[in-house]
Amino acid sequence: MSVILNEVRRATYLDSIVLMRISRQIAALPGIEEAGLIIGTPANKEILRDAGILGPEGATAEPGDLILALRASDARAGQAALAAATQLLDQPSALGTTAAVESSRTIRAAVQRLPAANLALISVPGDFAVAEARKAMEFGLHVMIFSDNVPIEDEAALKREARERRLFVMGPDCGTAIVAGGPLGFANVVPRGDIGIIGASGTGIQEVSCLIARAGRGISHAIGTGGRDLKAEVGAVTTLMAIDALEADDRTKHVVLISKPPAASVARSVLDRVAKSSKPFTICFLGATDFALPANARSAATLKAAADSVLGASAASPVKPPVRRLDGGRLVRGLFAGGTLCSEAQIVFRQAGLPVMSNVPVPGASAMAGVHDGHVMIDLGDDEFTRGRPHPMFEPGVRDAPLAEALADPSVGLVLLDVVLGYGGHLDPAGHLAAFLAGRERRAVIVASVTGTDADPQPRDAQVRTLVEAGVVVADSNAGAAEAAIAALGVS
Amino acid sequence: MTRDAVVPVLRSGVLAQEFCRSVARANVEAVFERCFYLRGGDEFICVGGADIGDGPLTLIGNLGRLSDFQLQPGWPAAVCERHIVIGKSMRLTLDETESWHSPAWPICLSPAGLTDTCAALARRAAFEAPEEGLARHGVGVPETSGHHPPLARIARPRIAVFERWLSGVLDAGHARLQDSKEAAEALIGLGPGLTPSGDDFLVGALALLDAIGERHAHAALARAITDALPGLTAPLSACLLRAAAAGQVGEALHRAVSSVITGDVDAAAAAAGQIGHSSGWDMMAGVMTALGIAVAARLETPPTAAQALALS
Amino acid sequence: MDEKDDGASHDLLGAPPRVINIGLEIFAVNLASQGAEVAHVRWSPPAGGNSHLAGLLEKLQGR
Repeated sequence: MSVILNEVRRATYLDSIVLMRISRQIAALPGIEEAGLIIGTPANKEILRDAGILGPEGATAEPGDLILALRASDARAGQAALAAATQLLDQPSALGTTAAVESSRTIRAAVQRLPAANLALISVPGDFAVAEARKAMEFGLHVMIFSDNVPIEDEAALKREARERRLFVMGPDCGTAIVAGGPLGFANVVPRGDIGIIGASGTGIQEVSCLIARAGRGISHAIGTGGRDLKAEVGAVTTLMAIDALEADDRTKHVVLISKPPAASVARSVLDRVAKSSKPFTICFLGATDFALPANARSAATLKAAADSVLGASAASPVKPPVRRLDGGRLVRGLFAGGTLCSEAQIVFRQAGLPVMSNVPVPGASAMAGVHDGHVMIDLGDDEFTRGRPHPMFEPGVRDAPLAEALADPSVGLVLLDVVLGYGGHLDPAGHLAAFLAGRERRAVIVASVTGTDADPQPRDAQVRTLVEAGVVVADSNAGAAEAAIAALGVS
Repeated sequence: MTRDAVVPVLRSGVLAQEFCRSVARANVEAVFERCFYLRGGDEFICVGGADIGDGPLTLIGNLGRLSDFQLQPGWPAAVCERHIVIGKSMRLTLDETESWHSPAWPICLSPAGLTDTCAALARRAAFEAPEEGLARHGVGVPETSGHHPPLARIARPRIAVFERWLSGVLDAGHARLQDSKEAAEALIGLGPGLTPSGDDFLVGALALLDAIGERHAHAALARAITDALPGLTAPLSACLLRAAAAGQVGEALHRAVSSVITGDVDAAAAAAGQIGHSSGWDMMAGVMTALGIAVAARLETPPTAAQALALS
Repeated sequence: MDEKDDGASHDLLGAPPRVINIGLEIFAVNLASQGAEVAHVRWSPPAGGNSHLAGLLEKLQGR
């Protein structure tokens, strides 16, 4: 049964663009069928009445007031949306929308306005991304393609063309990069330093750069390659260019390379190139360690191990937060927004000799069956969960239903979660989780990691506090959270 | 943080000067990244650095980083002709201020030239205007073409009322106040944003009618708007509408309208894009609508002596 | 592969990026709020875009 909720705020002055963004965010929340955020003039009240979302409270609004009106599928979804809106209205700066950005209709016009431009960040639908990338390259721009759904043969052709022009193509499906201190896409605020990262995975780059930052070190550059650069069809074009670039970069003293296990032929050409480098490398081919490394390289099976390796931490196992031994349910359910974090948790379980299932299984893990009768790690960013919905990094509500299901399952004793902060992500994922958990009966222990830094738009310390107050155990890293889960099982 | 900083006001709009003469006590009403608003009674002024552009209600001063002053909404301001003291942190001095008012309008193109400009501008609006506003869906696009957002759906018949009214006024040379008020009331306070899209539309229409010398229509619309305003829109937007009714518009809109009537579509689109998020293009929706009606009227009827003079 | 020691790397890594943002405006806004130089391109699908593409765009935009 739909409910109509109105809230009126007196004399609220926000930029039109901020109001528009907030209203879009609210409309995208789970269970919200319609939402409007406009000042309470008679004409606007007519619009809301016409849309069937004007309630008695909204009807009393004055022209100087702001009306938030929404129709939700049930009262709980409506109240959650009102709470989210209130928070956004109270802290519009958290949206980061106060800065004015001039816009154009074409790349040509934009380049005329910013003649010093050297990079195009492309986030159009995948079907159009390659065409836009080619246009951008015509203007001599390096390209970062955030979009996914680009055919692999198009990716390979584009990267070869770019190499001819001596231009980088980061992506497709490149969520994160940090170039000379400038975060692009989803990225965290990390200090500049002497560690370079080359990563096929956005959340992988985020986790490693944040672990490095929280240890007091910094990042020279983080170059995203896109998830398929090390596939045989693409042949590591971007990875090899990135190695060359970091080799030539005086600031970079150590390089971390993060990817899923590559095709054997590609691994060989990449490692051959690494061998010629004068700099030490840490190679993190998530889960795969059975390849011959050159003398200047060490391998790391997990993101945490890669960070430890580069920081010189002596293979210390992650600091585990104390988690009580499980007495009821004996199964672990991981619900991840970050795909690579989901892989890393599986790897930690496999390293401990535990069987694990996933919708995106790493080598050694099994594909998820319909019935969850084992330890399960679910990547909520995978297509089956995001079809028609935003990615869980934008919208943590995507996790609500699977989390409710896990908490209601008596066989689940522990739930593993990741909370990913940074530019581009949701403004308050911990707050969303805390609101979801408030007053909800639960037997299972919840263990989370928080990928981010205190300098992020959502400061990590505050996010951690929110989680702890909500009764969530917070680990120092994603691998640490998985280790804590294993410890709670009493098998480690 | 800067405390008790003295900020000389470099330029002051004519209505902002009037504010300083007539208002003694004001409050900080809203603080944005690059400017803030003072409110005294129903009147507002905007204070900001040179990058916000001149306007009738604007004081331009070298503020540096506005956030350094840590101004808060609600802070009191003592106002006199020579200076404005805001809270404990800022003193604006008007001793050496230069007065700013909208410059005279340029000479406008022939009706045929204006027709071409109208068409070119509508094409630009269909791509450049923000999705949420009136310019993209409200005007210049056939009713039947595809999907329109809720605002445009509701605004269209209201814009049609305005068009019929303006057409009638231009034909007859006068208007009944009641008809004029109905045309204005349908749009005042309509739409999202700090200045609702309908208000921006009317500001644009007023500026265009003034610029092309349609004095009867401008006066009738101005009178209707000022009569109808109370209670229909946000106080700040009402203040900007009253200024436009008094023939005073900001620098960017002036530039946009001047470009339209001299046929420089690129400059007009650029100027529109510089005003707010969607306000500039919402104003252009009013400019294009009023221009379309005025051109049609001029093509049908030989210009009157006064119009001929305005058209040169 | 002859890109060794060429100019590409220097020119990407030598200074903070000056960005032409094509697509999601939030990325341009984020860059601008960090003081980066950015110009935004308001992209829309070529005429006659179909619902499949619209769906993708909406997903990207988190709507």
